[in-house]
Amino acid sequence: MALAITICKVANSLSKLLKKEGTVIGGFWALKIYPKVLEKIKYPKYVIGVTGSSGKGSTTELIAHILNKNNITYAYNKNGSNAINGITSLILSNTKLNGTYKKQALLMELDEKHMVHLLAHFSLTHLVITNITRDQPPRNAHPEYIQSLIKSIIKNNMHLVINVDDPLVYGLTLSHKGKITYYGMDKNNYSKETHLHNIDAQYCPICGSKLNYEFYHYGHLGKYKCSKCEFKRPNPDFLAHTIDIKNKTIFINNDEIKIPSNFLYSVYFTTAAYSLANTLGIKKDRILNSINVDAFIPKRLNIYNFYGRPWQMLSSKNENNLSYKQSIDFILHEKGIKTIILGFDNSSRRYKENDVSWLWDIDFESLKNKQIDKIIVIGRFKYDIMTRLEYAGIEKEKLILINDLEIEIIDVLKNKTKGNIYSMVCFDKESELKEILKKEGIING
Amino acid sequence: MVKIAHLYYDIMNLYGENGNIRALKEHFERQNIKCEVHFLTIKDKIDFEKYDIYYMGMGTEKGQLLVLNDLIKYKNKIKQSIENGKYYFMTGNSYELFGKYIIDFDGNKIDCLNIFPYYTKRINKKDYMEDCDFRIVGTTSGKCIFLDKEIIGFQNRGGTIHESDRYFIKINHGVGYEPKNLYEGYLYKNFLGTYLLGPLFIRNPYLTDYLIKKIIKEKNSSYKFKVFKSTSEIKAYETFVENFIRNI
Repeated sequence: MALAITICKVANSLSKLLKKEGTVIGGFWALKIYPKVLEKIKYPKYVIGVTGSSGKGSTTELIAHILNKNNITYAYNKNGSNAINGITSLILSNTKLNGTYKKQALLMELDEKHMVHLLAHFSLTHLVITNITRDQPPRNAHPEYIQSLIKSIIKNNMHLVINVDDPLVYGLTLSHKGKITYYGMDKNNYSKETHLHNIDAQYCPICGSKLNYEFYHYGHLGKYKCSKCEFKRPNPDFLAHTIDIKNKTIFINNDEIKIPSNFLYSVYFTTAAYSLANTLGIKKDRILNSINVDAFIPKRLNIYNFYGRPWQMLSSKNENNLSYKQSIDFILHEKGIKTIILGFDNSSRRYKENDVSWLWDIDFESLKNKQIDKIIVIGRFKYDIMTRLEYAGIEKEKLILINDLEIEIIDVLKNKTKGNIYSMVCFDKESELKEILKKEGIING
Repeated sequence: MVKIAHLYYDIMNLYGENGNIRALKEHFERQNIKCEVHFLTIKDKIDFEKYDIYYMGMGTEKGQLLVLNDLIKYKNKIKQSIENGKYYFMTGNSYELFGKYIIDFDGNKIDCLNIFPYYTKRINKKDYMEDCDFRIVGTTSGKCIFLDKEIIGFQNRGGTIHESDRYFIKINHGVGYEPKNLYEGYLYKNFLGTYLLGPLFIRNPYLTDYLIKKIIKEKNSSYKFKVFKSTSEIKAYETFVENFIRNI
């Protein structure tokens, strides 16, 4: 074992010297020479996993922040390496040669799929489950498949911290005999009462009858109740309520809390991190202090000044209809006239498959809005997006198609559009836009 | 007036299948034909004579069985209605339900509608390489037997069909209903089933036009069709063929 740990550390250091991503290769070699190395480690008191289709990265980051402010030593996969080699590397880099993990907590953002292989070697003390939604189907099949994977790693000695607004999450914990902490979100001005056709989990996991919803936050997340049996969203132990997204404040039970950004999902990750910290026994005042006073700084916003008009760049959450919709909702909740840029060259950065079906699961109809001046469509799938927007009933005179980004975009934005600019494009297209702005002498901030 | 029944719209809707209903409606309306869509699901009384088109999309393995449990009581009526020439467009794993049975992951046989002679086998770990991940995923395209245009689409499924006696797509790229052969889909009278999932009728405007014209002609043989040459759908189709089919 000492050899495997040493090799892991040496390989990581060498890799770092060569200026490569030094976090995966060590784990790869350690597992190669000693496949059972993870089973032999003496783990700390807290082995915390965070999983789900979205929000796991932000939740993990905020938990790390709270641990840090409360002097609990920890290691976590900050760079997002959430597959087995990356996490093996993380663990072994923090382990003494005698196999004892050196810190008080091990915190991991876990990929829903990879964690099945990882957790065959060791177990968690705490597992946070954020949500199970449609996400990268070529890789993740569908929500029920992901639900079955998560279920396979849950053990009764784990303390589960779950988002009960999601019936797919709550449903998989019904037979759990260990501790469970529920968190959820109350009705707010983002919630909807309309009935959508394209949502998952419309039927009760117990009796197969239709679920009725009092309201939806988005997708199948909301307050549900079976039309026949007793299955319903339980009362959350930690309920986010009196939600004021604009001013970035919420209440969790009786306490006012600042949320780090004005996106709806920050309500969830803040509540999840708060709940988890509570289950670790960190005093409430200390948790509040870590969030409210020692402010948690979210990722820097991508805002540019385009000839006096603010231009905010959001990433295009391809193949995750609910995340994509949340970005649209964010734009719609902003004040004033808006111009939106949409587009992508590939559906995914992780694999070559280019499925476009997810475009039809997103409520682009909500872009039929007087405040929207123009929607500019770019990228290799521009006609697919155009088709979707036309079917959404958006007036043709509002839609502008760009064939050559470099030649056309500045001129089109300057002369044919009004208002604040929001781009929601894939990573490659965002880089191109930044290059074009740079040539115009426009840089971030 | 054309009537469409969108069957089990709230379960068999995994990959943007609502696009198919929208495409059919839009294509009829472009020809000035009124089109009415009824959304039907479990516990609704479904009439298998009343509609011109019955459509069903893709579901999860569990969702598919939930539907089967409701659908099976209509077995004879469905069979009769297919014989009578009603249009059935079944995309993704919904077309598995019209075969004899499904063999599930544990080897259990689940009786299906038994209208066509094929059966389905859920993909099992031991049948394939471990990394295959139990599902067939990827872009698929092929030559349609009744249309001089390539059909494009996507697959993401956990089953394979066996002992089928018909097809309507000869695969050029990707795999067929049984991965060892290059045939895809099932065509019998006006029943059209295929593993291609998602908004197939959005992505294949030529196919959609062919089908709606056939339906309109049956109602009015002298109907004069309007031609739409450069819609966004057609451009999306041509661009995809150019980028992903011809250049592979």
